[in-house]
Amino acid sequence: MKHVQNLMYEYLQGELDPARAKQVQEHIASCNACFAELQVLKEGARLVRPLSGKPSEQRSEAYWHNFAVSVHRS
Amino acid sequence: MPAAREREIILRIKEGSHEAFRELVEMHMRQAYDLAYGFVNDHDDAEDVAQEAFVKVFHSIKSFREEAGFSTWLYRIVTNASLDRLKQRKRKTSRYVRIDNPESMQAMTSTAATDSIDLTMHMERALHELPTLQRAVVILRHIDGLSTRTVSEILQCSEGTVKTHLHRGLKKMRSLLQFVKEGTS
Repeated sequence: MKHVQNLMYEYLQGELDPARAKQVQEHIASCNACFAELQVLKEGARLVRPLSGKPSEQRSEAYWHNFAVSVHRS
Repeated sequence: MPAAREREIILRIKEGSHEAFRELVEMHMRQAYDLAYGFVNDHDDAEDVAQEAFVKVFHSIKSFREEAGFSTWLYRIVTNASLDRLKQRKRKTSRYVRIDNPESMQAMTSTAATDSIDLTMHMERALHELPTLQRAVVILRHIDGLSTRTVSEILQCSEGTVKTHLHRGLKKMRSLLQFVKEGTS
């Protein structure tokens, strides 16, 4: 099997069908380059996470009332 | 909100109802703001972008065909408005620390703040180092948690293209955040 970089994101997210995922898994087990690429991608996905608390929650109810009024006036 | 109710509101807006438009704004304004903030990383800019987006919605609602859901359409408008804002800002000056710059890296890691590294802050800065499309797909998919298909609908490109940019974007994020990766979980 060729290198599997093009399938790696889907593999990591569990979006491949089982047969394809098995092929990728077998390739990664025998290919240092693809194994290393997967570790990098995994680490990147782990570091990117949803923001703690929504930015909109830092605004008051009065702010949101005014926001709707301002849009309406525009 | 039930889709039928949303369709009814949109129909009323198309017929010229300002009251229905205000209702729509109130339903989606926080969602639009949060998405804009993910891109522009600034409360004032997020407010401007979200407001511009709703004005655009009002003026172009008649062209909304409902092939995609309203949220997807709104997300597309907010995403485009956010990217426009970032382009304007780039033309002026970047107020963000370049985290791949050794001097700014040292400034961030040699102070007392090192003891309380704020991963979120670093992540936001790192996101702004990504090329536009990579930033867009990473924010929409990994920060906002949208599906790859929805991201492709918002950006009007194929799912394959989204995945390619996600792969590159996550690799770049890992590279940019390598200095904080130790000790985080």
